[in-house]
Amino acid sequence: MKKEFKKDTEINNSFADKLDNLIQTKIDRKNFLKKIGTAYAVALAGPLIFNSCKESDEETFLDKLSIKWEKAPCRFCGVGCSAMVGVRDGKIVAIAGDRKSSVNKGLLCIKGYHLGEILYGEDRFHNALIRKNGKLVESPLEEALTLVASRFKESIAANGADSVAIYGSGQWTIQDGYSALKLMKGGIGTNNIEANARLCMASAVTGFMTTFGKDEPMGCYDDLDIGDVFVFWGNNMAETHPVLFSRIMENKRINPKVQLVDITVRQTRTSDSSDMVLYFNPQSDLAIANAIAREIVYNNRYNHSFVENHTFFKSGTTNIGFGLEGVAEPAITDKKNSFEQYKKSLDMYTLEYVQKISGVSAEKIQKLASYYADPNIKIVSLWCMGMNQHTRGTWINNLVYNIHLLTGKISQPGNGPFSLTGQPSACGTVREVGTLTHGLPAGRNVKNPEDRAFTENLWGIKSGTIPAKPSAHTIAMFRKLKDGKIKAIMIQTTNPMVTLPDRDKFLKGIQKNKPFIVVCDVYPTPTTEIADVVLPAAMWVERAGCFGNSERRTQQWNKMVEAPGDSHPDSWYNIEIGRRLGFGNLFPWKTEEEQAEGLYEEYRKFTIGVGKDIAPYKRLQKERGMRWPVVNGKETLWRYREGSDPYVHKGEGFSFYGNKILGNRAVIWERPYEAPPEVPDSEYPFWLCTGRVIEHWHTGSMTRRVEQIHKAMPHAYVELNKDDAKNLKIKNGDDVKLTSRRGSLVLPAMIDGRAKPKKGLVFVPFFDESLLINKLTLDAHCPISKQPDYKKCSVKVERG
Amino acid sequence: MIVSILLVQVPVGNEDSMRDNINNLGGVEVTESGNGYLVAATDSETSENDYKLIEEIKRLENIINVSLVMTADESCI
Repeated sequence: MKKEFKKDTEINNSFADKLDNLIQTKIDRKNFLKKIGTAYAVALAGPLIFNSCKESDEETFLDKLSIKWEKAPCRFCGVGCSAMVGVRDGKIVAIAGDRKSSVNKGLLCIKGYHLGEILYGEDRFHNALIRKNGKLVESPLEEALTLVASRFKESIAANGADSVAIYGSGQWTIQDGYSALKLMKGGIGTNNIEANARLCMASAVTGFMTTFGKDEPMGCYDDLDIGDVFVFWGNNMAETHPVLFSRIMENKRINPKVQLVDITVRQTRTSDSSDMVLYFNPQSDLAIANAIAREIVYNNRYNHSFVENHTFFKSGTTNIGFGLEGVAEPAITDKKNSFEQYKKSLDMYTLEYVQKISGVSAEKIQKLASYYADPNIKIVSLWCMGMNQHTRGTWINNLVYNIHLLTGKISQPGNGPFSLTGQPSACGTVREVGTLTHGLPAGRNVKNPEDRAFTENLWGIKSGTIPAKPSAHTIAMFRKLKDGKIKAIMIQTTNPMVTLPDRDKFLKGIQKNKPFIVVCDVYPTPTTEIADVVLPAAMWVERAGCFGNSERRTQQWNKMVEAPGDSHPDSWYNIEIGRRLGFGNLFPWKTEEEQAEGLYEEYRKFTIGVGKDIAPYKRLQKERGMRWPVVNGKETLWRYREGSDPYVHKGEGFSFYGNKILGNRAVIWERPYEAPPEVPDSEYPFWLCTGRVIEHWHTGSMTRRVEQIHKAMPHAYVELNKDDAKNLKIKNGDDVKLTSRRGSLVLPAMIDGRAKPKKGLVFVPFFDESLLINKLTLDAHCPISKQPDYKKCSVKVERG
Repeated sequence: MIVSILLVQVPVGNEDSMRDNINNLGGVEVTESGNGYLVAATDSETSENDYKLIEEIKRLENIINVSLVMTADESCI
């Protein structure tokens, strides 16, 4: 029975009470929200609003408060909003949206407006910590650095270069990632470098590489302002990329013919704003994409000229496995296909068949196919984790590209596939610098002897230093760490003890084998809990740096405030540890400022002439970022199209020059629907899907330290379909026990909240380290991209 | 149900007239004002309507800047 709401009752922090109150007292709650919001706004701008002295119109807020303002890209997601950072007396005192930025046009999301506060959490690390007698103890920085270098040196001497590793992040600046890459591959001589971007966008990379031969989107955010139809493939853009979503909503307001189509497993804020919603069964997106292609091909609605002149057909190995530990997988190969073979492969994906697999009506699939096929409609496909965190992540990326290639709707304003990213420099650092086991800067690969030679020559190191064979992708790296095969690891700016799937398996192995673990971070996390050494990191505007966003835009910012205590940038640590390991010659820059510009400019040399030309550092200091390739001082909005991309020659029309060997053609792939490794059964009858909420960013290590955001979303919860909840006799706020084959977790129920899952599916956000959903997830991954699937495993649901 | 709090910048001296203009849009209420700034609270049934309302405010004459301070829906507390 629901409790009666009493205005003067004592505050009860339980989730159930909050929900009950919420449901029964909307008017009071609204007013409460308005009051706290207003109070916060007044706190931000109070001196301005209530200052009664007369000022001239020209005099601004800035002048009144003696605040120095500078631009910096947001620290959070991959959108790359530009923020104006207000500093007074050495501290960030205000944040505003940057009106000069064409990315966000003055707007920020709720996380962005709180950027300044993430620096000032009470438990911020100020000093190095060394584990002594089982406890992390504040220690002199020099002692910590000496210990790290000596343990790495000992391990390399005893067990070889592949016994040490570094695990970084899509939050690494370009300078951080480049220095780590140079240290590991050019100094130590191991390919044991990976980054958490493997967990969030590796399938996008392999999708781009297998289709276009070059990574990263061909389009840009301008597409959002001019497209006619926007298709969200498993992407809750309204919550996860709200500022970009607002651009689409503005387009829709101006242009009534704009249509939004949401392909989803749960009704979200994106669904609420969409004109057509396709609720699909998990994994059946593969079948839906093939059905759309079938409609286009079998009804002769494909773009004959584009397909004939700019595409190439291929098929690849099927039944490729799921990357499960101890399970042998087939070698993955591919072969040339013909259009007729491709057409035949689509034959089975009739509307009726796919309706049965996906649960989406034939009419809706047909209508969506007609949007893609109509030459008068400009269409943008958008996706993020829904397609990338998928045991067939590479395939579903390929299949969406197929649709755009069949219709020729690509590389043109308002027309194209667009892969969004979740971290501020997953593109700029991990993908472009190449901080993955196979990677070298600007799209080069360790397996290519010419790429290795070019890199070794530019770095001035001995030929043969860079190993020719990739070592371990992220999941394999942590499997080696738990098994005691990697003896020492440095983890920077990421939190794998929250983000790894089937987390406890890794934790138990690490606790048993006790590898030496160094963590560079700003706050205590479950990852620093297992560290032997913690190095305090300088974050965001406490140092200069560069990020690269989802639309190929490289952005630079200057140092604006001092970092606390002994904190330093990750790049500084890489250089200092490198010097102590005997690789000081690789890093000739002395001060942090010299390092920021020097590392960037050296990396920039790799990008010139290969279609990834980034702008000079000094130019970026003046700009709100520039989209590469930047040639003759001009950025590129749409790649691969004549007149827009300087790498496409006159008369070519389109040129997918990443695929030179295929005559500059993009690949249309034959990729079948295959079921995932774990599906609901009688014992574990529900799908579990995990993801994000608008308030928190990733594992919440920063946003949960911002009081306002933490209050808005204090804990994780489990979203249930209301019919499922009724059958299980579960009410809002009740404790619900989720159990998978790997673990159990008790969370409060949310029914008919901000999102509503399909029947038979539950959703849990992953930001809450105290309610750690990755104890239940499965470490199955796409065998091509090696990216885990956090969106699908099976669970049992019970009242807790 | 969505509530958003906005910080709206207008030319100094125009606060009262802009308060009326914003309040007249419906679904939004100016709660504080002074020195060229207003704090406004929206109250919409859906995210889409909320976005539309914010865009309508941005398009009013004499608006210099609109900053979203916070947004919350019925599952936020």
